[in-house]
This record gives sequence, structure tokens and C-alpha cells, in this order.
Amino acid sequence: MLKLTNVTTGYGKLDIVKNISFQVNNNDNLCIIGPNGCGKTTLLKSIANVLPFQGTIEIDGTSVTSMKHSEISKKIAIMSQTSSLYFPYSVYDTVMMGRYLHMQGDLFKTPSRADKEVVMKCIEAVDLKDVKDKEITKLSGGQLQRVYLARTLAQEPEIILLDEPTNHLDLKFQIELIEYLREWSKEDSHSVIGVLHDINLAMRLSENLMVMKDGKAVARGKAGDIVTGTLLQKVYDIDVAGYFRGALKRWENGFS
Amino acid sequence: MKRKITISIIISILTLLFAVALGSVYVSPMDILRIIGSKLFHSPLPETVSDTNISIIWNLRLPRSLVAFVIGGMISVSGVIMQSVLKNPLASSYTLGVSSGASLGAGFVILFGFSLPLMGGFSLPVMGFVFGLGTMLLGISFAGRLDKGFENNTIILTGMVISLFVNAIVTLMSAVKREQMQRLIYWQMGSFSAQDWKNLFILLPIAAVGILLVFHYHRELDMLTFGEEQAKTMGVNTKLVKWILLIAAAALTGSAISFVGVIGFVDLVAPHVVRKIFGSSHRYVIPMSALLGGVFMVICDLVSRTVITNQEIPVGAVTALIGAPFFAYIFFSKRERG
Amino acid sequence: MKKIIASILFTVLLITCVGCGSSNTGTPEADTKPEETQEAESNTADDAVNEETDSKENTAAADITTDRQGNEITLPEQIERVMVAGPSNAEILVGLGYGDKIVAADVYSGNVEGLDGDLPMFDMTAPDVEKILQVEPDVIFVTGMVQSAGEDVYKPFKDAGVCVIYIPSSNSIAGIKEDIRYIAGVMGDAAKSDEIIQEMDQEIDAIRAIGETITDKKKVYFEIAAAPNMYSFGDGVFLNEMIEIIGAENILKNENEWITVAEEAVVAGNPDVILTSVNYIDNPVDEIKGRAGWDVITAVKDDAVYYIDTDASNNPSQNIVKALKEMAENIYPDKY
Repeated sequence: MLKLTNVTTGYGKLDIVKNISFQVNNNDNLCIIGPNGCGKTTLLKSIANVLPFQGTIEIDGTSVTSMKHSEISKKIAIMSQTSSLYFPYSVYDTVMMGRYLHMQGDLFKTPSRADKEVVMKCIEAVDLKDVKDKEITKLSGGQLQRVYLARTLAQEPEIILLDEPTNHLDLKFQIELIEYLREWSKEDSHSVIGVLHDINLAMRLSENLMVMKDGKAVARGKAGDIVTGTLLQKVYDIDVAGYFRGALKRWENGFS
Repeated sequence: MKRKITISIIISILTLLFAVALGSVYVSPMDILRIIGSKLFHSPLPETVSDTNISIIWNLRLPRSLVAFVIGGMISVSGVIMQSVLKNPLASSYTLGVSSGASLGAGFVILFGFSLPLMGGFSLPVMGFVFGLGTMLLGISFAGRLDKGFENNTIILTGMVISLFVNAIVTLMSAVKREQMQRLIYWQMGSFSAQDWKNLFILLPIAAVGILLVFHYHRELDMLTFGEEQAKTMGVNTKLVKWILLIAAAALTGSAISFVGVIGFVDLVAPHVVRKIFGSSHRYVIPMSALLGGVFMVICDLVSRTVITNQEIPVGAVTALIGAPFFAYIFFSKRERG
Repeated sequence: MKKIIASILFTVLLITCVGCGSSNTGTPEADTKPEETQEAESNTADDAVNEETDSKENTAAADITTDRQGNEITLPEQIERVMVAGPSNAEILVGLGYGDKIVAADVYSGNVEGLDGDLPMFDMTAPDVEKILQVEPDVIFVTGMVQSAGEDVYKPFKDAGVCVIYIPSSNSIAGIKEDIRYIAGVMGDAAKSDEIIQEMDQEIDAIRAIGETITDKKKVYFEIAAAPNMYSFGDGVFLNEMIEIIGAENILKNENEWITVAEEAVVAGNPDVILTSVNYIDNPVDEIKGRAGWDVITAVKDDAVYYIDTDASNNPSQNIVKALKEMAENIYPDKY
């Protein structure tokens, strides 16, 4: 269970995220949407303990400031966008890195049998078994994204933070990813907090929605309740609803 | 992979044998084996083997080659750390202050005759080490202060600035004390001459501890290459790990420089070559860099003392002369294939 | 087409040969000198007629139109104020009796006896032009080492009209004697050098006489820089000549001039005597004896490692005789 109270964070003296509060219970998910620059990624970084923040963040009732970083990382994993520079590790080795926290203890951190099993399971879950020994530099953008997902899953966290992970995936994989995570969040005490561009996809992940603009939460609640044309207009500055209405009309007319 | 490792080990042993077999003076291979055998296993040595040759093989060539091997390993591993941690192929503890700092320390001893109490002949290495390490630590802690996030670019920039500043001081000192400047320059060019068993026994534990410590963090090194944030989210205590690794790199090169002077280039080139052959996983890159870096250094030392009979040319020049084309070959040939 | 290429190549070849020829003489200063030389000759010719105290040798000064490097120079009529850049030049001038005319010296000449203790001292590789010109030297004697940087740091002095005389370090005893004679000539009286040169010859011949009787020559290794970059020499250096005069043999005699010597070469050469002129570390002799692997060398076993005076052995001046004697006494203590 994750709870944020009046969290403000940013870079240096500049506050990007202002006074965000929400709570995500076990097996519940949350989608965060909003225009670029509204602070979604910054917020996720604070939750993952990569950025300092003001306010309170509690995991299962314990404030993160009293937890060690490794403890936090055991509970929260973030699946980021792919970086531009990376070395040619194999898919298998990359996913194995997700097991880092669980491999402590051994002097040279040799993976145990359990580690190896988890890694294979995650690789299979993202359908990359065929290329598990291939170098990640040789993968397509979509495949690389799936490697990152497998690595995040291998970390066996309780809460997964998604930072716009669908950028490189085609429609099929986007939907598959969200479906997979939806199922995942139903197990144990898992939750997923996803920052997504696509509102439809977001709503597929969860009914719980938080809409951000300029670092503040302008709306929070069930998607069906809060998503209105007016809200979208206010947040995105264009007639998004009108755009959808138009598309819907053409859909009804069979795209002629 | 196993095959590549075995080949590397075999190459290492062969190179060492070669290094002991060749030199300004010809000693027959049979004699060489007899000498080594007699020293190690107390096997009998025929009268025909002269004392001079025994001394040359056992007291000059063998310790010298072994020291070159260890130093090469230390410097290469240091290079691996700097490149992986700072994600910059030009980052080296030399450019970040260790070599200029060590030159400063050495400058005090060579130019001004400064001598540490109780240290006597050890003043030079100790001063070199202390100042070398100290300068780089100064640079890193400056970076840590300037940038709470301890970003790589900050580290590199502050390191270079401090390094250049210290270099300027050394230049000033040399200008004031020109008579001894030549000696300082020679020291800076590096040499394995006069390396004996004593030095080897001091270097070995330093190298072992340093390299094992680095190996302990091989996974973190892998993860850091994905970027600090990602490594952090996977649970790595990036700031602590970076500090430890950078200090280890500085300590390794600092110790190396303090004994043999500034021999650069190996730490830049060896990691790249090793990665091309063994891949990026630090589980292999670290030990193989130590091995192949050692081999490279032994070869360079061999060249520096045999290419002109009876004379020695500075090994620092040889590493660059041999290293550059070799590096280009490996880099570009693998590129076409890969 | 072939003809054009051939002629171009031929021209290039010609130019290269000419270039090679002239490069031996160092920096060509031919441009401005010829006219001045003409003047100087006519001037000093007048002086020669006017001054009766001049001996025949004085016209030798007027005849001197080049320095020891081959550069053309113009000697001033009177030389009262001399600057020395290089301790060998200082020693020679003092030895000839001109110590009091030295008004400025380089830092390394500080040890030379006979120099005024309060002399302004300069860095000879980067001379402070203004300060030196203030001292108003008539000539500056420079050793050749200074030009290794490539550019001529003494050009400003030439431009200011001061006579700059290059005396490259001679690598033979004969060369040193010529240097002495030359400097004496410049200072106005080549005959003054006779005395010094005679003394030198006497000492050298005395030692050579004994040296020639020695049949069982000892092997010698002489280093001028200590570990780890040991510097020694082979043939073509006056120190090598000196070793042979004494009746000994340099283990590196087959090498050419100065070399950074490999340890193995020394150990294999197994010298009977080791000499060092290193003075920048506390105990050069002990340092040599303590080197790993050197304990098998005869010289170390017999404790025949000696220090030779640094200045006397390094500076190509009449003082090499002092070094010669020290070396002889140390190599063959029973003979010298």
C-alpha cells in the first residue's frame, strides 16, 4: 500500500511537483495522465527514492525516510524509458540485473537457482525466450522495452511504477503489456502506478485516475466520473473531446 | 568463452616466459630453466652457469617482468572502473588527477630533495602515492560538493580542472629547479628498470586487494552502465559504490605510478580491447583486463629494453607506440565483423 | 612527364644536400653578419696598428669571425665585460685569468671558484634579457646545450648588438683544448691558453705513460645518473678517452656517445670498478651497491665503487684533469 501526503519535489530550487497526495491500496492500480512536463516522471522518481522530496511517502504505513534505499527498492521498482546509451549485455544478463537486491550475501553475488528460475519466468512472460542470449543492442525498440519489463518483474517488487513504457511498442504489445500488468496486480499485494499518454490504455489498466497539470493534481477519482470534455480541455488546452467525438463519428460511419 | 579465457591464460604464461628469455644479454633457454629450477626447487646448478647470468635472470629479468605484469593488471582494472563508472571512454584516473598529483609528490622529492622521516628511499613512492590519491580525491569530493547528484560530467570536469591546476604547479616547480627537471621528466615517462622482488611483494597484495574489491562490485558496475537512475531503482547505492570504486581506481593507479612512474595509455586501451573480445559483462572484463593488461605491459617493457641493444627507451613511449595501432586494429576490425 | 619528375626530384635532392650541409653549423646567422664583419675587420685592424702593447697573437682576435659552432660573429674591439652561460666556459675563463671580467653568470656556474660571489645569476635556458642587458656585457659565452630547445633564446642579445659566442660541448680532449685556445683568442690573447694547455698535457701525459704500461686492463662502468634511468656513455665522449688514457676499458665502449643503459648490460659487462658522478642523492655509492642483482658484479663484491667529482667530470674544461686523477687513483690505486 502506497500513500503520498503533500509531496513536493523538483530539481534544485525549482518545484516541479506541488503538493500531491493520493493513496493506492494493495491490488489497486493508479493511472496518472497529463501533458508533457506536468511532473509525472518527476513524481515517479520521488516515489522510487531516486529524487528527494518534501512531504510524506509511506509504504505499508512506514515512511520511506526511515527505510534504507535497498528496502525501498525491494518494494518499488520503476520501469523507465530506455536510455540512449547502453552496452551489449545479453537479454538474460540484463534481466538478471533485476535480481540484484535478492542476490546479496554471496561475496561475488552468484545467482542462486531461485534467481535463475525467476529470470527465465520473466523472460518467458514477455515472450523473449527465443532471443534470451542475444545482445540487447541488436534488439528492436519494442523488444528492448520488453527486456526492461522482464527486468522489472524479476525484481519482484510489490509496486511497479510505469514511466510511459509504451512509447516503442506497437499496438499489440501495448495492449498485451497492460493486460499482463493488470493480471499481475491482482496477485499478492501488488499494485501498478502507470504514467501513460494514452487515456484509453490508462483506463484499461485501472479505473483510478489522477490527472496532473503543472505539477498539481487537477482531478482524482474513478475515470468514469472525472473524465469529461471540460476537464480534458482544461488540462490539454485543446478540444480533445471534440477530437474523439470526431473519430467516434467516423468509426460509427465505418471510416468512409 | 571458456576457450577465450584459457587462451588468454596461456598467452600470459608464454609472454612471461618470453620476457625472461629475452634481453640485452643472451642466456640460453636451458640455462634459464636451470636457474629458475634451482631457485624454486633447489635443483643443482652446473658450474657453467655464471653468477652474472643467474643474477640477470633471477634478480633482474624475472622480478622486472613480474612487476610489469602486475602493474599492467592494476592499471587496466583501474581503466575499466573509470570508463564504466563515468561512462566516458576518455576518463582515466590519469586525466583526473592521479598522474599530476603523483608528479607533484615526486617533484618535491626529486626537485627539492624532500625526504620523509624514517622513509629514506621510500620517500619517492610514498609521496607519489599520497599526492596522487589525494589530488584525485580532492577532485571527486569537489564534484560531490558542487553537485549533490554526483553526476559523471561534474566528476570528469572537476577532475580535469584540478589535474591541470596541479600540473601547472609542477611545471612551475620544474622551472625553478631546472637542474633536476630532467630527472623528473624521466620519472614521469615511467620505467621498469631497477624493479626487484621487494617491490613485487609490496605490489602483489595491493593489486590483489584492489582487484578483488573491484570484482566484488562487478554486478554494480554492469548496472551502472545503464545509467545511474536505473541502477538506483534496481537497488544499487550508487553514490557509495561510485565513491568506493573511484577510490579503488585511484589507489591502484596511484600505487602503480609511485613505483614505476607514469605509464599511461594502457588504462585507456586495455578495457576497450577486452570488451571487444569478452563482451561487456564485468564478471569477465575485470579479470581479463587484469590479465591482458599485464601481458601488454610485459611486452612493452620487453620492447623498451631490447629494441636497442644495451639501452632502454622509456616504456611510456612504447605503450603508446604499440598500443595505438593495435587498438585501432581491434576496434575497427571487430566493428566490421560485428 | 618523366623528365619533369626527374628534374623536380633532382632539385629536391640538391636542396636537401645543401640543407644537410648547413644544418651542421647550427642557426644560420648569415644575413646580417657579412657587412658587420667587414666593419669589424677594418676597425680591429686599425686598433692593431694603434695599440703597441698588442702581441702578434692579438691579430688572431680580429681573425676570429666564427664561433666554435661555425656561426659568424663580430667581436667587439674591447672585451671588458663578459657573461658566461655554462660552467665549463666559466671555468675556462677563470683558468685563463679573466675571472674578474665576468659580470654575469648562469645558475649552474655558481660552484665555480674564482667567480665573484655577488654575481647576478641567470637561467641560461631562459635568460632574462632586460636584466642581462642592464649589466652591459660585451660578449656572452654560451654552451651549445642551450639550443636544444630549437629556438635561439639568445637572439634578443644579438639583435641588441651583443656578441653571442656558442661553444658546443666538445666530446674529445682535443676539442676541449681547442675551446680553451679559442676562448683565449677571443679574449685577445691566444697565447694565454698555452700555459693551461701545457699543464693539461703534462698531467695527461704523465697518466698516459703509466696507463700504457698496464696490460691487464680493468673494466670500468661510469654512470652520471642513478637508477632507475642510469645514464652512461660509450665512444665519442671525453670521459671515455680518459678511461682509456688511464689504461682501463669502458664496458660500454662499443656504444655511441650518451645512452640510457640497460641494467643487464652492466651486470653482464661485470666491471671491476664502478664510478659515479651522481651528486643529487645522498649516497650514490651505497645506492649502487644496494641495487638488486648487482651484488654479483666484481666491482660491488670488491667494494670498488667510487664517487668522482661531478663538476670536474661533467664540464668540458681544463678541470677534467682533476677528474682524470681521481679516476686513475680509484681505478688503479697501486699505480697512481
